[in-house]
Amino acid sequence: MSVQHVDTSHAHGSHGHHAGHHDPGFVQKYLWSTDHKMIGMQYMFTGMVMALIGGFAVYVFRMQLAFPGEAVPLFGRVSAAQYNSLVTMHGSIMIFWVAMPVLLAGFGNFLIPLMLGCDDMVFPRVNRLSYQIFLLSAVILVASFFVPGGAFGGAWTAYPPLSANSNYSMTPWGSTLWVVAVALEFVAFLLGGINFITTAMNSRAPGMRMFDVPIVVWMIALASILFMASVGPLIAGAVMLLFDQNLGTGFFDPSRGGDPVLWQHLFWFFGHPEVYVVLLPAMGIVADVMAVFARKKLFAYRTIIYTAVATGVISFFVWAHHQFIAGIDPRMASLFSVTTLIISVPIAEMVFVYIATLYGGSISLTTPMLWALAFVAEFLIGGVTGIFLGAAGADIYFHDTYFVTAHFHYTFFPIAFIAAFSGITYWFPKMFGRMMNETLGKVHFWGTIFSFNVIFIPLFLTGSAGDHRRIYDYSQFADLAHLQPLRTLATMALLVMIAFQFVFLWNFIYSLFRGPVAEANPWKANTLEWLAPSPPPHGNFAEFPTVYRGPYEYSVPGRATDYWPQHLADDAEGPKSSTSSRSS
Amino acid sequence: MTVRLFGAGVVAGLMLVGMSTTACGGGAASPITGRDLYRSCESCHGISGEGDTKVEAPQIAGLPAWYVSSQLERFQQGLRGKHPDDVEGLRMRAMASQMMSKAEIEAVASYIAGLTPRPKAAPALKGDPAAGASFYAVCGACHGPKGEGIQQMNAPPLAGFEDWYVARQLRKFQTGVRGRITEDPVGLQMSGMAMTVPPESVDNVAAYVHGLSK
Amino acid sequence: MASTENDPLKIGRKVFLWTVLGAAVFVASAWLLVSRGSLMASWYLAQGSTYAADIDNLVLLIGIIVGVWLLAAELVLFWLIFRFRARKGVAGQYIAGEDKREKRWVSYPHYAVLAFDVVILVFALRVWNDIKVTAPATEETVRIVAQQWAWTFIHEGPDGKLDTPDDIRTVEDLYVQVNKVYRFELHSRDVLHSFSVPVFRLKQDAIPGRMISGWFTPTVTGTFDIQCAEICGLGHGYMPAHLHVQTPAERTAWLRDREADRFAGRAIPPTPVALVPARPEAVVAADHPAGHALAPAGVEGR
Repeated sequence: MSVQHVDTSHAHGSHGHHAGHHDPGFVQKYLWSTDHKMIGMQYMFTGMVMALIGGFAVYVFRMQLAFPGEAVPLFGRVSAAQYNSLVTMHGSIMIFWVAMPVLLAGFGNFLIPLMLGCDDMVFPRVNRLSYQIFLLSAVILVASFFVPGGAFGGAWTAYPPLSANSNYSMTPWGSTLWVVAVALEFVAFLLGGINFITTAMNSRAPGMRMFDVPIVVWMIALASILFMASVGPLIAGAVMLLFDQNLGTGFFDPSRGGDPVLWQHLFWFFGHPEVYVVLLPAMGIVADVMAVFARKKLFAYRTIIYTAVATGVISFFVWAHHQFIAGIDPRMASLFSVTTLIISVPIAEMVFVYIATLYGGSISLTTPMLWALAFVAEFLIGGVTGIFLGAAGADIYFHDTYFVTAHFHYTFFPIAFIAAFSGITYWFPKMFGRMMNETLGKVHFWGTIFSFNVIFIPLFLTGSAGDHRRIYDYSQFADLAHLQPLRTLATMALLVMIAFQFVFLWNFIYSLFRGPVAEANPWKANTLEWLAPSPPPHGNFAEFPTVYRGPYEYSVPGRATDYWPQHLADDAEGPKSSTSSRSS
Repeated sequence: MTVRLFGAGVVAGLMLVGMSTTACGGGAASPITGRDLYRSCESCHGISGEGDTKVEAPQIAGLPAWYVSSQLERFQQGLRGKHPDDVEGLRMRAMASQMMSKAEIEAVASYIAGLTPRPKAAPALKGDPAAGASFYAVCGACHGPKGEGIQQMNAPPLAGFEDWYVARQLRKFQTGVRGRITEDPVGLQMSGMAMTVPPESVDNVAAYVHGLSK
Repeated sequence: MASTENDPLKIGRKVFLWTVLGAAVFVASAWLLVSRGSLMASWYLAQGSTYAADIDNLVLLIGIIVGVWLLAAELVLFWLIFRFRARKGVAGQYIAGEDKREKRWVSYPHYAVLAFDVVILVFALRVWNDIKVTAPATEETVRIVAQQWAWTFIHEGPDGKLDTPDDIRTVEDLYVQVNKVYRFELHSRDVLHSFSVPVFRLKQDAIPGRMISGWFTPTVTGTFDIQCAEICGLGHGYMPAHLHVQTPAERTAWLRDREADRFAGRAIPPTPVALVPARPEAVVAADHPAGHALAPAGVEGR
């Protein structure tokens, strides 16, 4: 195994990173670290805490829907204002403070340098700053629950004039804090994205060509580019909204010459690429997990990348499918309907490629693999139900019904939770040096998947029957009265799902401290992070590796083992386990 | 391993049992108080019932429970607020619907009656209280000489209201936005009473009422 | 070193069979749920307008096309998991998928997806065009005003014209005649709302500062829900309205009764929309509160 100087600015000599570092204190190690692994875990843990808050919000408002007017245990009687705030916060938190930090910044930070065989991101202090701004945004958002008037209640889409004028929204503080929190979150991810893209392009191990990079790194880099390219208009819109809220401007006020629909365009121009910003990392995680546990080379690796790029490009041309009946020119709506159905093609191809990867494999149904396969099975449902909404004529009926809600949960839940659980259970040994419990993992898996479907299939039905969204109490609508059993069923299934998450939390926390010690490469995988010890020390590798092949050389004919790590030279026989000590 | 399985199972099971029993028996276990119900009102009327002029919500703290109850019922039944030009009344119809039963209406009304009103702000309109005093004699027959209200006459206390609110309600009665529903004898009566004030003197009467203290 | 008991790779192979059984259970339970209901609106609601059936049929077409694809993809997925489960002594195959023959398995389906998308688009855009881009000749016009938190409606009255003294204004109740082509003029006084009539399958957002028009022809008599389908503040869930579709006889009687109300002074005087501006920012102005149409009809507004 040859050792070479890595041609990045932070190389410290031929023997890795360890020389010259003293033992960091608690603050330096946990609170003020520039180490990408620590920052990744900070993002991940913050995202998990925010998931608990967002999950509590949905628990409360779904209990109100199932038992209107009754005091919700652990909350009390829900008022209409609180209901709207909970709905708004649930959506905002899950997208911006759970999916983004866990998938993009959590896995991105932890994995990218390790998978590329280098010791850290290119700009570690910018990285630390990005997390601190992110944490600030989370604190501001949670604080908005406790200000006079309560948290913003105009939905995560925040359409003005409702969001711009506190005489309409009744949340003078909450509206402004929401915008500030979202804007700061964007800044954090712009800063983080700088690192993901630059490190992926510049810090690859010697011998690692772009097409030798694991898919998950590609996907996170592409997602970061997509995010950076699309968020500008919404940042502009957010500034305009802040000004309307607080400085008396009228960007979105028709009585002052403004236009409420302008916000919608600015929001969705970002909002649609945003769903691919979170989808791509999730698909990257699923691809890597599937390759490992099917012991198979990813089918058509380059096609995956090309379709991901195609999806990203087309995603800039579909945004107004959220606005078909919003008052835009209906002829323009026809154009967007065409582009929206077109974007289903590259995504469908990606899913077909994943399914094709299974052909000829040797599939082990470990917990990470179960989650990865469930991602495909559930996301398929989300994807096909999107067709009903992209077809403009059908959307006239389905817009703002629970059909939409069920559709995007069949895409977002796989993205933010199923793929995340796959990644967490897969990379847990590398992150923490211990193994999670398989049986508990499977119990958690089945409980979650079953209850997830029993929550959202009824919501497809209620949406088709006419249930509109964001409604505090359906008893006002005679034609919808018969749907109450379905609403209650969905809520009961949610309770079951919440209960099963405690199995995960128990497994996670217990394994953190008492799980069996993990070896460097328990899954017998090829990618470079498994060369480093579990967990990797500061600096990651005892010696920087050189790469000789792509990341998916599994079941190569004629070899003794069914995997072939990237760092092993051509003539090496079996795997070498990395047993460097945990010096820091 | 068995310990872990057992532990996780106990935790999940407890959660499930706890949540489902509280879900089913929740209403009985934790009765909803007037304070809880008032949260449905506080976005506009303020945490202490002090009102908010920016959203045209009058101060309601300290209004008698019988009056608050009757108005909430009237909003719900369409006897008040159900006119296309009654912007505030139409909002109140929706807000009053949050009370799901007569018991809830009465509970929130008695909570509101127990709130301590704040001292009034300066008058918002430019009416002349002295000029308004002469017209008030007619009003005082039902609302009391000091605006203290007389329940038997279905007349609420006016002493708690601010001038902008009084002026607005008078104008609504005068123009038929309030009080023209045949099934509503109280409103019809008030409509007639409102006609005794010439339109140009409405602000003066309102200014006079503003000066009445409880 | 992971113990055998917790060795995930070993456990993976051992519990394979019952996890596949679990998958079958989940599919069965999903089907059971769906069989208790339907994605077709017509299962729940009458087709109450001339285009309700068009939309329902479009949904059915899409449902069949994507349903077949979904079923096929899921079946292939589960079959591959079963067929290529890890077995002792059987190695995985080395397939790169870059070869044209291999890629066919993915590229042919994706061209098929494109073809079906085109089919769906043709039908979807035709339905869209018929409802939102073009409109048939109008027989009657109704004005719909959305505000926080109520719907008010202005009907033409016997003279067949809006903005005349015999207009009929109502709160919460819209009266239309069956089989008549209606043009609606949709307004908002404050924030975004959305006029939604499930029985028509109609929806149109209302924007303050604009008048948006559309059309419908009711085909079924009765009373049905009208909803607000765009979150508009605290009372978003508390602004229902009722659609009353009348027979010609009922219509005539209703018009006659409203005329009687008008002459008896019981009717709500009409106020043209132009005199009903959006809600003012501040309650209190120097003299009179601005912007409320408190003056009776015929008097200069404000």
